[in-house]
Amino acid sequence: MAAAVCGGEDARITAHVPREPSPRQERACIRAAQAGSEEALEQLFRRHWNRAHRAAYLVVHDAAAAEDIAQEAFLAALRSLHRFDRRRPFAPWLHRIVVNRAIDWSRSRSLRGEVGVEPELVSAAAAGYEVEAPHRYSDEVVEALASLSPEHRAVVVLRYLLEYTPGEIAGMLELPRGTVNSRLRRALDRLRILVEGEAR
Amino acid sequence: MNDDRMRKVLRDVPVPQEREAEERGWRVVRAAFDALPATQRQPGRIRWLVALAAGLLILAIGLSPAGAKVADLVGEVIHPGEEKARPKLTSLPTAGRLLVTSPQGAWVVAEDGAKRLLGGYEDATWSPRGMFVAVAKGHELTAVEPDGTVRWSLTANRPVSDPVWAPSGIRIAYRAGKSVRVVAGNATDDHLLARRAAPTPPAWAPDTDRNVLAFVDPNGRVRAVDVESGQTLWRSARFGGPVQSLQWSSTGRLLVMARSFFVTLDARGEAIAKGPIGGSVEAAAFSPDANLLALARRTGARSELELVRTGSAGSSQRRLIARPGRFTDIAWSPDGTWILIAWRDADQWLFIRPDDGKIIAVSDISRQFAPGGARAGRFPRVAGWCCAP
Repeated sequence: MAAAVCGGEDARITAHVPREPSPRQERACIRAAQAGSEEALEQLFRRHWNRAHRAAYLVVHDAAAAEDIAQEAFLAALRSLHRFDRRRPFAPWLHRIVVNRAIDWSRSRSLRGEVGVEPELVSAAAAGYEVEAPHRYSDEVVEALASLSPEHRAVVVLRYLLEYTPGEIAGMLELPRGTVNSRLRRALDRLRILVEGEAR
Repeated sequence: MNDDRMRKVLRDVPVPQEREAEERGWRVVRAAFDALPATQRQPGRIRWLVALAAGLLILAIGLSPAGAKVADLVGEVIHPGEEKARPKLTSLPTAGRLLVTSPQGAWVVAEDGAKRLLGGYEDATWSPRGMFVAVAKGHELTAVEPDGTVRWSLTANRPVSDPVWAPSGIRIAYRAGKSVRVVAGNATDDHLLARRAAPTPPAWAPDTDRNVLAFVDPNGRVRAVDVESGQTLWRSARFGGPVQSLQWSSTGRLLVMARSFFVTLDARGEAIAKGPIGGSVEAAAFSPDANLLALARRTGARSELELVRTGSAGSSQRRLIARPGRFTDIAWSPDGTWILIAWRDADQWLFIRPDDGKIIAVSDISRQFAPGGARAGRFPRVAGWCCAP
């Protein structure tokens, strides 16, 4: 039933493996949600939650805060849904809210002198997870990512997790494109040094 | 490490409780959707209903002297409850001024709703009689007048946060990095009180004849220190979890709030009441006369505001409201007749009169504290409701 709301069987998604909808299906979904369909709203939510939540987590490195930020972003989107222009894609709108809030949160956390990242993020092994070899590499990258500033983490997440171009990132963060490129370059250089340097 | 490897790593990083977070998120979003004003949830249908209602109204007023009653009826059908929220904060329901922090900075809201931006500060606190505001940003602690005039500023070695002005008016406590420091209200005698403390804002005891500050030490115990002598007056036992906030009542009891339980300490630091919250605490505040505790707690996707009456005969609870989403701050009016509850997920402030349950709702709060911005900012925090000038 929910699938029909947003434009046919192709639009159906499972709860945790979202399938990319076509722009037309996405517009249909938003139109249905604007008209009051809870099913359509749930589809939008399921399609976009995972990446939004993951993006927040990779910027703030705090599970509870990431959940709060993703929730807040969806609620902000929900409040503005009735005036959302359906010709525009939904994801960049949502991701912009998520990443900017995540940066704000990280800044205010560092201002409050709270330090450290979540143990389970820094080292899954240390937290008692069973870890196989490929995961250790992932841990190192994430640990290295945690050592960057929130602004640098944000551009890495927008570029490599959410797949935006530097020009789109510049628009989302209200930065000059050159700043985005230099942040990206510096972040990658640092990640390379931290990960590959330690691996040697 | 190439780009593809980076993509794969970021996609595969385990996020704690990913599925549970998604389900919790959906419950919150669905509850907020259910609570949306009908005008936002079904704009097309509502426009039609409004047109119909307007037609009915004109007809009823034209045909019958009871037209006013029909007008009321139509209004209630289309705008029930908080849908009657005022679009702008045009006044406070009683005397006093609000201190608010938003991403733009610290604001003072006058009784007539006029807002003044004090500057790009992050934390703020009233002086006891509302003559000054202590604000923090970066490494600076600053005292300003309510019109924004800077009286003094000092720079600390570490980031400054959580300033609190003593009821005596002569001391300000603040956190600098992990330490707790104290400075006189005229910026002299700035000194270290504790090298390390938990990241819980310190709280002054209500006495005005001496300056006693409570804070949480790194071991999670509350310490009360006479700031003038530096003497530790008492140290509490440890609690079953991190302390989120400390609140002194005006009668000298200290309410220690953790995420899921509370403990009330007497003037010697002995526990005189404790209990589970039944959910997680969002905010709590004693009424000015200390007889009532307003407590916002969240259970599942809903938040509740309860009034807890504390007295010698025990305590009693009364639920004032329950709504989907989160309440983030509580402030009592200086005369104790109104409570302001900040309802983040509706982007509303609710002014509630406990005596009769009357509610005045104001919507679009984020945008009102982000003037000129292209987008609404983060939901503002209420830092205090102080005395009239």
